Amino acid sequence: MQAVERETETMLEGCLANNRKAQEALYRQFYGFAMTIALRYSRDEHDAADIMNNAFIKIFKSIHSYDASKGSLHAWIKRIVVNEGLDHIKSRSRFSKDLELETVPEPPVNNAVLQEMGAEEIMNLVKRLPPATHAVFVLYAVEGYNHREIAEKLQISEGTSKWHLSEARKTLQKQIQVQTSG
Amino acid sequence: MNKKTTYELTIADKLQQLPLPDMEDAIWARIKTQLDLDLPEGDGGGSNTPQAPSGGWMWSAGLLTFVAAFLTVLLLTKKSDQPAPTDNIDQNIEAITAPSPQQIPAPVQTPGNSTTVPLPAPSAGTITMPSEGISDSLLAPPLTLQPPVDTLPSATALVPPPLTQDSLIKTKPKTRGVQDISDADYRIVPTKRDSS
Repeated sequence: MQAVERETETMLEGCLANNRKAQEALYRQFYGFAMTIALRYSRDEHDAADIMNNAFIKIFKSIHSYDASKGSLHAWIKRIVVNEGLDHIKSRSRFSKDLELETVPEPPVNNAVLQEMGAEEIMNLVKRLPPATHAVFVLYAVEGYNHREIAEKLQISEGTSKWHLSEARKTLQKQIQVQTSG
Repeated sequence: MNKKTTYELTIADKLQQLPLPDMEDAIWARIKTQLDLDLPEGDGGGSNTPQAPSGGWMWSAGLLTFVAAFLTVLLLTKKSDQPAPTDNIDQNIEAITAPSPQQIPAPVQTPGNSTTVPLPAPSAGTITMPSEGISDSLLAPPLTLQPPVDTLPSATALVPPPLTQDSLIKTKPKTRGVQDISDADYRIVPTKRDSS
């Protein structure tokens, strides 16, 4: 474990010195982790590649601002990739701030059907959501952010965040029903 | 509303298992190209945080101050050793010489027994000065510039303004005496006494 930490530390020092080999090593070490996040916010692989490209450029340019005492390198990189993914979604969608929802009925979803579905099939369902609803659903259900945090990230109200989550659940329910009946 | 449903947990779990596209090398090539443009290798990257003052930094600052002081003293010493600006003035005076007699056009005799002093055509590098004591002689006096060296502030003050036709007219020398009266009019001719 200590050897891995030492290796990461050496890699970070290389990145701070703008050493290309160290930067490549960091990129390759975190490629899978970052790409999995990028795919959740993209419509296809090309979108994901754009998110990855922009995120890693930001990572290398601001590597000096990483503070190990404030959190892990994984968490820091995840935050940058998620923000880049949200910027990507924002670039193709306007986030309405007028939609408010405080209470929402929980729509029933057949979990057994979901369990049988593959990851790509589920991702295709999520991708069909409108961009803003897609972003809120992924942030809430996958990344684990609460509505206050989502509201801050997307610069919307908590009510709007709840409305988008409700819309995501309704739409997913309908799509899963169609899959079940089909 | 704020609790994750079972199916959401399932979705989150499934999305972690997404197959990765084989784009690792292609994306790195793009990143590397952009980094080569934005952050050329070896320039310290984005580490633009100010460094704490160290012993080496202090030495550098001291050395820089010393060099600056030395250069200032050197410049001041050189300035005081420089020769008086009259040396340059002499060179400029040589450059501003009067036209040779061949360049001066022949005088024109006008009716009324009066003479006009033809002025050389204005050209670059020549100066016409209102000369005193222009007589009725047919040749214009040679024009020379003898500036008082002591009063000239610098050699650049000798650079003449461009001459125009108007300035030539203004500098036309005054004629002495009353116009239309020549020397012959003042000649005293002794009258012959009658012998008778």
